[in-house]
Amino acid sequence: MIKPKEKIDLKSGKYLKLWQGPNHPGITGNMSMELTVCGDEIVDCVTHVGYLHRGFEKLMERRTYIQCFPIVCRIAVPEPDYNEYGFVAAAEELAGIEIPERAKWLRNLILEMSRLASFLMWIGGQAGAFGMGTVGQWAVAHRDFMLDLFEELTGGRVYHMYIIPGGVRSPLPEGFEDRMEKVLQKVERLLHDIEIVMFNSAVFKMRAKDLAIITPDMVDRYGLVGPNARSTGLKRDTRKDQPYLFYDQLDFDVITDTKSDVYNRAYLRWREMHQSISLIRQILKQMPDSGEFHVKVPNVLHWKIPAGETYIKAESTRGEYGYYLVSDGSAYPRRVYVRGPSYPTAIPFMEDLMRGVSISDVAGINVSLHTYPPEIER
Amino acid sequence: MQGFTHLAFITAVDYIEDSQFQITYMLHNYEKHLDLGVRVLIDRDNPVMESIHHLWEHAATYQREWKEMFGIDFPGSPRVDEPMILEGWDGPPPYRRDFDTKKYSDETYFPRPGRVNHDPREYMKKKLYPEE
Repeated sequence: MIKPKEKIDLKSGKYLKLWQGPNHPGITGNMSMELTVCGDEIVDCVTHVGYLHRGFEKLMERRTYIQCFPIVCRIAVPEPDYNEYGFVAAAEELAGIEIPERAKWLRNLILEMSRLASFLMWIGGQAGAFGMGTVGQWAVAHRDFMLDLFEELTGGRVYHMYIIPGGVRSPLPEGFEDRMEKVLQKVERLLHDIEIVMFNSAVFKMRAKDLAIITPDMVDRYGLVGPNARSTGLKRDTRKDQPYLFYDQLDFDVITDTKSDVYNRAYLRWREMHQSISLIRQILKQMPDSGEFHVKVPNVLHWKIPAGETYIKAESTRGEYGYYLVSDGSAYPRRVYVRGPSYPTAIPFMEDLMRGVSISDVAGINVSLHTYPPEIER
Repeated sequence: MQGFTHLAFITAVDYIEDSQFQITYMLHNYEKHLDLGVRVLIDRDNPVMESIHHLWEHAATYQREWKEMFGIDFPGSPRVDEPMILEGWDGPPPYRRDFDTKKYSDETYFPRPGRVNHDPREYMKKKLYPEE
């Protein structure tokens, strides 16, 4: 499916250089694509990153483990909880800390809530890229209801810093389940409306069907994970394959599709939003009401973690999100590496996938691969 | 080694005291659901590693990043010499342990007058554990 590269002579007058970004007014900003176009067809695409580089991995080498903790959530903006979980779980594994059952349920709850909030943000971008701004307004408004719940639970709207070494920071507030249920019902109504307005829309169907097809053989070659891989028919979900927290006690299926174009990938994510809603309900139902939600960890100022290496991964909305932590036995991490799923997707894969598409579809394809630049340049 | 078809990431760790770089390749087997980390130690003074861009397309991007950040060379990897994040950087590779970020920022940027700096370790100790 991928078009081979052709030889480009910029002096021939046939081609034009066009920059998409870095200030693209969508969630995919802070990254730019240098496009070479012939007419309105793209013949070459080069991704440029570096507009958002904050050097987190290097910063963490200078900080003690507890000082690293409030900065890791800044790595992926719409989904900070996966960073907190990855970093904290890696540190706990090396230090040999067992966390209480209730803390695990609370972690499971916030991870699934953040999946739903991130998908709500994404569907706004996907619809907006094809000219349906209304869906974006609805989705972002409903994400705000989710942010209210995050604020109630953790005190923060965007960055939560909820999952701390040894457990979580606080238990559920009183009446949280009822307010959550109200928001979930609102989101369900929204998803129904989105199906009518977006997925049944002739314009969206005409533009998104058969656009940017991913074939199963590309998945391993480019390291694709998450919905991008699942939409080709491969049953790959870390939550099912290597269950962490309590995913082995929850009832859900891996959602797959048969043909991966922009429309089907969007529809697959829409179904995953329903799955998230069902999982949040199951978690709230099965979660114990009382018990410890935090164990005492050693004095964090002198917290030395035994030497070792570990890799912790979790299934975020974009797929496998992992933390690789190397400790040398001192109070500072030797190396922290963040495996963001957008990295292989946005750089090598998108550069190849963009060849041969029209300029008007670039933003839509970019969003349909669900890339977040902050996690590319940690 | 059959079935490890997914390359999750390539990364490098700087063991400056042993004068070595460790390159970690994290592979995954989707049939047996196994993770496999391959660790390779190379000489820090002459950091050259064989490229694996012919096996996975995204390996070239990782190799390009580590060429820039650690100065590890991967001969034959496509676009390995192009800058990825640090356009116009002429200092040493910044992710190496001997690159002092504090010293670099003190030399490059200047604080506003009248600003008070706390030593974070002492400040936290005073706030969190005043009795110790």
